[in-house]
Amino acid sequence: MFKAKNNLVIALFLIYILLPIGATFLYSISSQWQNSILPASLTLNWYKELLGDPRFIAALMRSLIVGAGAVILGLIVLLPAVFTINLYYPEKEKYVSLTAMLPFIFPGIMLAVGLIRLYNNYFSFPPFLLLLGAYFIIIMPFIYQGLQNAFKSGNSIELFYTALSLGASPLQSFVYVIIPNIITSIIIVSLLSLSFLMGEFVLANLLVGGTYETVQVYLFKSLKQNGHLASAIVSFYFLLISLISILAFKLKDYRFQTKAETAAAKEFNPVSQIKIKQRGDLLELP
Amino acid sequence: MSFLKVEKISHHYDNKPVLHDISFSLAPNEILSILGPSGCGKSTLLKIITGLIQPANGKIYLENRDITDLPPQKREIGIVFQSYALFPNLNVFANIAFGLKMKKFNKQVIQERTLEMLNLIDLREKAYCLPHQLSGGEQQRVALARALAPYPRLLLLDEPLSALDAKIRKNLRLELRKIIKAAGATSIFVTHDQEEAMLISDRILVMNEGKIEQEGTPEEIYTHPRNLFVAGFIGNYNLFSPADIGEIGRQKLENTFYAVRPETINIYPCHEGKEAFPLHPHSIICKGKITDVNMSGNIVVYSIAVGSSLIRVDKLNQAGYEYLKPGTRVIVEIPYQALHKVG
Repeated sequence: MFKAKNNLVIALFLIYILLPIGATFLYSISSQWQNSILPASLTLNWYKELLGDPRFIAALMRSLIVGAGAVILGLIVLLPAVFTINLYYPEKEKYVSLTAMLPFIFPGIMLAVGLIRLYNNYFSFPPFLLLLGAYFIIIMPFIYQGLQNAFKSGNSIELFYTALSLGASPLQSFVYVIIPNIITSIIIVSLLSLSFLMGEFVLANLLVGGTYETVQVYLFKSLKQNGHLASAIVSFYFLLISLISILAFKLKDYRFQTKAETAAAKEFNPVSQIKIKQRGDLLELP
Repeated sequence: MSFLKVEKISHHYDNKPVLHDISFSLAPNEILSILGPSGCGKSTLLKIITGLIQPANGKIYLENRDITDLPPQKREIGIVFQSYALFPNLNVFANIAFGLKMKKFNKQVIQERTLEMLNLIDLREKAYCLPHQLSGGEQQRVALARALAPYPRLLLLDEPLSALDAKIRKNLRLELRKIIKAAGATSIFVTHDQEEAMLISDRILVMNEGKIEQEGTPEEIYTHPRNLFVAGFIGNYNLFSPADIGEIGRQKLENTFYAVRPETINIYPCHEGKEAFPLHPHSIICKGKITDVNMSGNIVVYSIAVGSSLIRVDKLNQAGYEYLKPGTRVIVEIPYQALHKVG
């Protein structure tokens, strides 16, 4: 009885999550769907039209470039910063954490107007840089908190100290020991941030609008023209994000494929057989 | 000549002093234990020796070379943490080889030395396991081998056994000493477990509130505690104030505290008659009542109420030994030579 109730809750949750996605996809492959329960007929024409539009491809690439750029910039700035705070100033962490959360406090409209006045009116920043900078700020809380959790849960400080005591420089310790041990968190936080930025519309529309058309700005314009096309954009965007996620997690698991080799190595005696070099990455340090 | 010389090290966190003028030295191939309760500053001292923390004052000399300002990676000091800190992304072999690789030994040397270490800790068959596939004891041995592999001049162990369960910990104590001695490593072992310190080390340094309370061999520390703290921390000493002694023995001794080891006290059931027992002519004799009896493996622990004092008496649990029951009235004999002044 209890199990049946649990299954029902899970089923309802899945329907709640998947129904809008399924309906959007169905709408994107329907030729017409207005006065009937199900579409009149199915077609892939909207996808053909969408992928044949150079404006869409360009918008998609812009979104990916500016999103990935902001995530990379965020990691470059925050990864060493968060680690240094945890290592040398753990007592100051609460203040830094509060500061990193500030972008959540300011409404997007305020941020956009302020940024336009300062960087566009006074300094004439190119739209790409303006959007990159704004995106870096709005994903800062995600990246900061994700990295902070990773450092705290992974015994990173003692790993770092141990690497130092074994003769590694601080940079070597960070690159060879710390990064590989928080790589999962880095991937997850990057994906979350990238997904969030790919779907971001308010700042992109207010800050740069048509001068640097992102996929969301393109979607907004398409909504006015054709609902089927807009559904195709959303479905395509969803598929793209899913593929990126799957690929990233496959890459993450790649490091731990050594489990299979470990099982094989149980029969292997490293003392009696100096075959170590042939065993590939297992023996190789990063 | 000292191998390691720590000279007047002081340190504080946020103006709160944690170490006061700590000085001691270490001979080559010696194992020194730093023993003390949590928060006494022993781990801070260890981090200062490793170079992970810079001391506010004082100097550290390793083989007559001042290393106080050297970064950790240039001190050639190996460290084993309580959590072992094995690199989760590297297998056992790569963990042990890490230090050798960082110090740019050639590949042949790295392989030979790593295999030597695997033999030393007897974990050849686990060379390709990842740390999470090892038991706690195995992880501890790998951490030790990793620290020993790059030929450290000094090895520091920060409570390396405390994360293990009691049985494994007991077995590993002597094994740890055997491995360290076999590797010829000069070592400092930090612990809060006095039994562990006595079994593993050649010399013990007892610390409390950032100060050294006593320094000596395990036997010296155990049999001649210098003060109340050491007597209270080491073993299970009975501590008597002058008033207690007056009450128990009705004798006037020096106006100071006395410590008595529980195994040096004799007890005899009262009903058998006082005259029948070989009482020491130079002993404190008093009457008491057994309030509790506990069996702790090879010893039987009696709690005996004498006046307002509660005395602990340990007796060897030999074959055929008959336990005295709670409530039994006993004669308690405390030899004068067992009284140790700690005031």
